[in-house]
Amino acid sequence: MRIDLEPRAGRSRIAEWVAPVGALIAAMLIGGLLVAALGKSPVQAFFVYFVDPLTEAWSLQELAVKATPLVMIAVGLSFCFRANLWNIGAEGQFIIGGAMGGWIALLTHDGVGQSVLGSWWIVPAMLAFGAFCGLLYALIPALLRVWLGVSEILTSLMLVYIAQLFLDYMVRGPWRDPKGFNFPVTVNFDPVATLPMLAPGGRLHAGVALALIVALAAALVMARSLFGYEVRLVGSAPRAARFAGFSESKLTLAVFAISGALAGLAGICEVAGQIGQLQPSISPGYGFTAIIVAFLGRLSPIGILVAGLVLALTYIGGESAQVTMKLPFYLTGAFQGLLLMCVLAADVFTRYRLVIQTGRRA
Amino acid sequence: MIEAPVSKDQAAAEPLVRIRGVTKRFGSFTANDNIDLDLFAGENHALLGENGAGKSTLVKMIYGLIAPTEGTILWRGAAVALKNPEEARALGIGMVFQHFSLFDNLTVAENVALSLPRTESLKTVPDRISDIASRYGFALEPDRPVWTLSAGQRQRIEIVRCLLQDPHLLILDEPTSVLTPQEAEALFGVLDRLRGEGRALLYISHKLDEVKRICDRATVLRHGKVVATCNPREESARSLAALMVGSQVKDVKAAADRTYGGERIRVDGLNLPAGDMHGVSLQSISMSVRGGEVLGVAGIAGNGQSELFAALSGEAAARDANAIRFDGGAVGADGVTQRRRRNAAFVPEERNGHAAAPDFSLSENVVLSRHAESGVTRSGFVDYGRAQNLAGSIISSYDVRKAGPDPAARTLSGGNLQKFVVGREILREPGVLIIDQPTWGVDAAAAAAIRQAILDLAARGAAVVVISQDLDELFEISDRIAVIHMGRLSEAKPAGAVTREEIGLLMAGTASGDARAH
Amino acid sequence: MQKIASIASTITLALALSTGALAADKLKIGFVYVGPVGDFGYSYQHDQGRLAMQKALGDKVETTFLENVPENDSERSIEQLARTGHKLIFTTSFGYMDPTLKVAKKYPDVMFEHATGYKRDKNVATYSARFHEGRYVIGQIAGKMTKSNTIGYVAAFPIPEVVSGINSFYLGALSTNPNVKLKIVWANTWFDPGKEADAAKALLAQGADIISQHTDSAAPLQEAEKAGKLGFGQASNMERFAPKAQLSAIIDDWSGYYTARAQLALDGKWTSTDTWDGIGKKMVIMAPFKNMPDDVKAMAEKTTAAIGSGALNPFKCPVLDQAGKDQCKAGAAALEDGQVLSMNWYVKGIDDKVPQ
Repeated sequence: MRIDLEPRAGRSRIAEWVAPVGALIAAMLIGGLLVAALGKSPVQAFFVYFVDPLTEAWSLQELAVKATPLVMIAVGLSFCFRANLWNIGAEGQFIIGGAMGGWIALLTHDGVGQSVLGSWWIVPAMLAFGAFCGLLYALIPALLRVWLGVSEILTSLMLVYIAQLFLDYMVRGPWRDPKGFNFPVTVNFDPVATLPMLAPGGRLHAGVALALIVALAAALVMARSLFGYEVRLVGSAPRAARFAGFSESKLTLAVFAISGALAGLAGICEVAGQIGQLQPSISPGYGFTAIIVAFLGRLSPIGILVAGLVLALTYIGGESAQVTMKLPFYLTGAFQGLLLMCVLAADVFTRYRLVIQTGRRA
Repeated sequence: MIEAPVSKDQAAAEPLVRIRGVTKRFGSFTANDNIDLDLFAGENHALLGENGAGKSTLVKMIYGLIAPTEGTILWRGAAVALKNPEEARALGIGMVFQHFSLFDNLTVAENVALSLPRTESLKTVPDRISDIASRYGFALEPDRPVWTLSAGQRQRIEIVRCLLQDPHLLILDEPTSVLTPQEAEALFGVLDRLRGEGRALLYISHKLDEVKRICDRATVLRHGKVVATCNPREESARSLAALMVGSQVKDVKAAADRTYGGERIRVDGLNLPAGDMHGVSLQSISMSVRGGEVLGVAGIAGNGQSELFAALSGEAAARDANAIRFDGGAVGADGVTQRRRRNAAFVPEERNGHAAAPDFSLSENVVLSRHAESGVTRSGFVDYGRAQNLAGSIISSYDVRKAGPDPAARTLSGGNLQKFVVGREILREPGVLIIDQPTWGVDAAAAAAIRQAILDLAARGAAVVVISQDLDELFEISDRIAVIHMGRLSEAKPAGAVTREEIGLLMAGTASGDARAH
Repeated sequence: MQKIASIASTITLALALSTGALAADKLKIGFVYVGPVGDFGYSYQHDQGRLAMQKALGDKVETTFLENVPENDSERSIEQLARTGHKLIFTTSFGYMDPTLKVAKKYPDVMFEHATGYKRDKNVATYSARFHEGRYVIGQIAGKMTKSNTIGYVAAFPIPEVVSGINSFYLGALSTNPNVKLKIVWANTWFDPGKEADAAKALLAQGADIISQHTDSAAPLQEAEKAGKLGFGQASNMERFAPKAQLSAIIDDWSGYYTARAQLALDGKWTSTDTWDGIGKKMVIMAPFKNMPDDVKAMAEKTTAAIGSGALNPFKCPVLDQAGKDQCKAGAAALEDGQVLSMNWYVKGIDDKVPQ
């Protein structure tokens, strides 16, 4: 007997969208078995994980807040990944964006510099500067690749550590809150340096709307613009892209700039919308989780929007399960891993057909 | 179905390989349908068919690379189920592939040793290579590194690899496609000896003249089915082609009187260093092509054809803008898009991944070379509706067969995709067309259509450069022929005033003037 | 139709009753941990405190914990507890300070307790332990036990808690050995066994024969054990990881505090307070003194008792900084709490600089 994977003649568009849904269901079933093995009710776990968070206004809001940085970063990364360029350093670009955008909030703290212009410009300036610095930071690995042929995977990843240590240094030193008993945090941002809330009382900051706009705009650019065509072509058939007259170097810089700017924007939105100050660490690994989100979303902006929400759901559902069912924290991580495995498996089966041959031919 | 002319000796003998009712399906697609085939010791058996007729699938099953869905393969009368090529080789089946799998930086002996069982000592390999080379009358130096060898010599390494296993059946996949006429002659000598030793040969080719000369029997496949088994010596090239295609092939007709316009392509002393260590550098290339004229560039693979195409298309820009002029304008330093704006069009050799993106739909592939045109893109956005219309007119004008309204390029057969790619460029009505291997791996009917389209374009006043390794093709459509060898281009000669032998000598690097002088 | 409605209302009522009954009977108490409960260090000790409180108060309380909650994304997790009926919530890491305050504003009926921070509100209390008291004791032991007169110190981050710990440790060591030298390596992590072990290896290579640590895993102590040297446990008794190397350990014991605060909440007497207890109130406990001669053990026990009774303050005046300037307020007997809680300078004799 031998087991083979034979390529399928054609791939249907429907299958490409049904597969991840099937994968989600498969992951839920296996997750349910795990819950049962822990001696809890899988049905209750299903409700706590997936239904309750989707039926309450509070958790829906939290879902959007949690998904926002993931979606913004992943949409940017999808441009890189589509072009077969591997920006692994979105975490660093996120941190730089948050730090540098936040710096404006520190500079203007307590009304400084607002005597002439007022304060209306502070939030837009923070967003723009955060995105711009993320962009510049992402151009470092892109330029090293274009000029010297250095692998962007290594350089972008190593720049993450530099960004983390940079923020750590600034928050412990120059940016430290003078009244903070030497603890490594900055002052709390002024209200004029904080993102406006979309709904009173909640945590639904304006960054959520930005993430939605970013995803929709990216979907349009990717599907309809010549630039989107170029990105897809370079990734799909690089030699054909050269024949089409597209410059790989320019494209490398462009996609890194886009993903860096979006990661930086996500960073400053998180700092100015959610955290409200700078700390030694401003990200629980969003830049890395977004890589998973990008692939779960099949590198399509709308898919990423959905995938970001699904992943956020597993975090929030996981917390609910810890609180209401006393299920262990590690179940959330296990489930996320399970989900990724199922999606990858589904991906293989949409491209290949499993053929089991027995000794019949002999 | 035509009766198989089996000789009396063969009728009495047990066939070496007997294939009965073999079917291979990939999903809903049937690549081989109920194939019957007998191969006898001591015969050279041709396997003929268009691209996609199922030749490769059948051969891969005999060589153990894939397993049949139904049917049996008998080896000396016993059914066998080959799990992998190792088992096939153990039985005595050898195969020489069209594309060589050699390591350029290793020597001949090292490459041969790689294919031998681990128990073999590397020390004895050079002697064994020399033995075989002298027995079959060809030269092969065991200690030469492979990168210094010609395509013909590389092929001999592959043949030696097979012969070291002393095969009873040797499968050859398009063995002459990379050889000069002279090298091909040498190969035929070797094949004759092998047959004389009682080995069976399965010879895959689309060159009908060759098959008529050296093969004893021919099996013709069409759409995965055996349509005929015949003696090729008793058939004409035309009748064989008709069997393959299933209908009469049209002759390509050039306009009776060609009139030439002014000079549209001029290349002056073009130099271009090689892009990488295995590439070829172009050295002082010069050519001139007038409107209405087709210039053929002959040559053996790997002598600078790809580099010449890249230089003319702008994929590799020259330092000197004046080295290349289209319609008088210096374009040497321009990129592809700028040259296209000067009404030039290009068709590279490789369809999948170079001329077209395999995973993109046909309409998206229209955008690939035509995004600079007004109408296809507007203020940075692609008008996919317009692209679809263009794709539709290419498909109908060039009779592109496809499944579904706007399928991915890779789902098209080679010939149909080539027609699409050629149509995409010619429908623009370019003034300059550079085309590399226009009918490589394309079935006879499609090849004829493509050649006709090229001639018609020239007749409308365009200047065309056709780079090809197929001499028949060049003689059929060129007004003048030049030869590229080691990155240098010979002087172009009128196609009517030059012989195949002269071109062959130029391809092998021997100056034609010397050959003629005697 | 009416039947369906009545069934529906019965179910709703039953649900309301079942959750309501729980809420009425029991005080729901939530805990937020920065690390995994299984770190056998900082978060583990907080969880030990939770379990002790649960045991002491039995049916009167129901406890829940969230572990591995990142400090920069903790507001939602804290609110998750507040909105699910938890009336007393302990947030056990410094980084939860501002998120705790934000949630507390939204839930004025919920009582919050934030560890190691300095911002309070009418429903946010703070608590911490005088870890530096224990460090004085182990400093004295280290001074006695070192043969190379070089002591290694693996530190997490240059925050006041860690800096005051280093100072207290050094003052203790100096009191028993005037020739002692302190070498400090910053691991820049609270919990990363690999990095912590590397830091300890570097210190051992520089001639340190005792490893002290202010990071949470047992890795530095285990490195000392492997090298045949000595060390101290951190936050928890780590004797089982290094039976031959552990001289003692500073144990954070939150059980008394947690039980007392929960009892106050049950009695309706909870108020926002600032608690900073040490050896005296048994919030800091010394693990059994082992692997040392009897005289050293006796000395350590004596010092512990003296600190516990208030007779000895590690930062008794004068306390000279590296420049030789006395940091004490005029006439004070010891440094004030505020000075210790914001300490960012080394005492005289430490040959290093506080990273800025």
